[in-house]
Amino acid sequence: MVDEITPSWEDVAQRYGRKIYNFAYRLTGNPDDAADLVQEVLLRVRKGLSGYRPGSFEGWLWRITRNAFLDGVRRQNRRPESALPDGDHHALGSSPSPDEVLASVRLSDDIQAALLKLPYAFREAVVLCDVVGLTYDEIADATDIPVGTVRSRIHRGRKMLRDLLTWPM
Amino acid sequence: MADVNPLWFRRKELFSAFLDGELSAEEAELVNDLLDGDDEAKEEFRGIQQVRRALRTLPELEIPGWLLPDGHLGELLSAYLDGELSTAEQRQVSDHVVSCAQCRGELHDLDRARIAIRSLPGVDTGQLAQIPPPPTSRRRRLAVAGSVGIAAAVALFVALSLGGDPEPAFSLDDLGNHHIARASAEPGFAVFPPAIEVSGP
Amino acid sequence: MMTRRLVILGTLVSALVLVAIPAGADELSDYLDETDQATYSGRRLIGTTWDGLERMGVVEVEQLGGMAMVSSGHTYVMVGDGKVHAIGSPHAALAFVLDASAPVSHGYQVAMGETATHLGRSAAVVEVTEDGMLRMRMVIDEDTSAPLATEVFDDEGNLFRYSTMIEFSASAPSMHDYEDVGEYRTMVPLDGAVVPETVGPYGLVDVYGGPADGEQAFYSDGLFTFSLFAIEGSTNIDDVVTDGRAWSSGGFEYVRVIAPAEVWVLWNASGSTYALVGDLPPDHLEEVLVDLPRPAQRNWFGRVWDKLFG
Repeated sequence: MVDEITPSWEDVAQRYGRKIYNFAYRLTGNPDDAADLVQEVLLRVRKGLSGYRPGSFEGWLWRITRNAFLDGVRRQNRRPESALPDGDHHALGSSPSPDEVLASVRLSDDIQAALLKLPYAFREAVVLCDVVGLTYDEIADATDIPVGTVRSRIHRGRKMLRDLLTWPM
Repeated sequence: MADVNPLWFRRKELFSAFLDGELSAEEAELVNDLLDGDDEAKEEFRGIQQVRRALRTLPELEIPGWLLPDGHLGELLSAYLDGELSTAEQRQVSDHVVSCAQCRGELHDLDRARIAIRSLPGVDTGQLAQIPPPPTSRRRRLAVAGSVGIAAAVALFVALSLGGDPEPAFSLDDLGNHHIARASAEPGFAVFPPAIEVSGP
Repeated sequence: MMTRRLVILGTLVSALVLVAIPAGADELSDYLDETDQATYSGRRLIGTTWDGLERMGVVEVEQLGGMAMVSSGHTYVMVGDGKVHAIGSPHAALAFVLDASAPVSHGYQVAMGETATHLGRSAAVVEVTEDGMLRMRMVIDEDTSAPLATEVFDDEGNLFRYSTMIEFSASAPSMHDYEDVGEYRTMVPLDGAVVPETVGPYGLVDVYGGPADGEQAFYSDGLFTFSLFAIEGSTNIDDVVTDGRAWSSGGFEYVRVIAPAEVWVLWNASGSTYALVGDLPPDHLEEVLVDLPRPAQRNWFGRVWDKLFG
């Protein structure tokens, strides 16, 4: 999609900040790392906007996000923490019943823990598809790999998750 | 020999692509063929469907409010002090700072902290990442200056300075572990751990 | 069930006409990827045979989700995705930061052979040829995609490496949770290292800081890989290696160690120590050494040659 108007930095932050945060959170399981990533991405976006050529804005944004994530891993001279979250900070919406909250928190904790056990390439593909909601073409564009490989990684990632979630943990 | 048929191994990937709406009409028909009468395949399909649904209904987390722009400069100040901004952006910063007491204060604090750290003895400032800014903004973690290899380098230095035949600075196991770790990321690598007793003359 | 699969295969084959198949670099790694992701456990025999020397070993294997736990006696190693943890061994938890880089491919051709039966299991046979010559044969379990057996050949068609499962189960129930390892030492790609981009038929993939403050350059040809370690200062190789033997290549003398799944070559050259370790076949290895710094010491034949013609 060709964008006619380049958004302002504030627009980007308001519109995409939450998605970027969720991307980073699901990848790392760690709110601190996720916040660091959002900051870094917004900073790079801010610095890069003046040089941005109209084209696929989302593709550009997700490429920046992904590179920022990998650079973050490099900067920390140790393995990124993968501590289990205490429970997801809940989303806005109509208030569910206590049972529903409990059940959904437990399930999403399990899924998050399982996600962290996936090798990075598969975790990233699944998160970009099912959490961020990109199409295969968009993922291929952001990660610089062929669409066939994207499809393969998404499928394998999901398969692995299914095995991990039915396995005793 | 049959012709190469990569689809044979990748046939099940069609399930995911089907659920994501990424297949052409012909490919979608193949999925029906694969599922038809094959209970195992149906089970796998259902499993993928379940996982996909579970992932897509994960709660979307709220982004912490302080990450969103509030009209102030935030992280841009550090970049400004590090000389990473273009001329236009520098002008932006200085224009804002002139009329914003909050950012002016933050810039001042950042600057002092930077100077303090850089004047510490023996610190390789090239290794430092962002310094911790004052409490109003997000605290960043310092990257630890590369400690990998320092212990080994010290050991080597000590060994060499003792004179005579030095202890070898490395072991085959060490190299082996490094190789196995890296090579294991490549497809098809057969793992055989180092330091295993083997048979043979 | 078998008939049903053949029918589906037939449908898929005919559907190839309709569906665009991406050809080229992806294919070989697809097959290899497939075996990496299989879930299975058992015992595997691996061996290398070269110049009449044979080294064999047996390991227990459990593989799940792209990670493998390999053990023999009291040594346990968890491996996968650029991480290794030698359980019980200090300083042996490493993780490599990897970029999703394009795979290196050097013109291997892949073809499916006849289906086979191995360990009583139905299996597909994948043959990898290099310039028309059979280089590797893999027997892959149809049910789990596990690699049941592998053969690698030298350039004269002799068997160089082989592996086969000797016990096999299509499940891996007791995988330890590798996340509970504690701290990994993270190896980060080195910027600005000066290493050759191509060495024989192999291409440089990435470079890391290695042990003893040296460098580890990792090379691949799309099928085989090796690490080249360069460490400053000469080393008495006999102090480092217990079962090495003098070995000649191209008129120069190296120390060679043959292990069940890989080969080591060590030597000193221009004030540095070099160690090369990988699963590459002998003819590739000799080509690679041509493009690397040669040892200071010529072997006996080399010295005579130099004297006569130098």
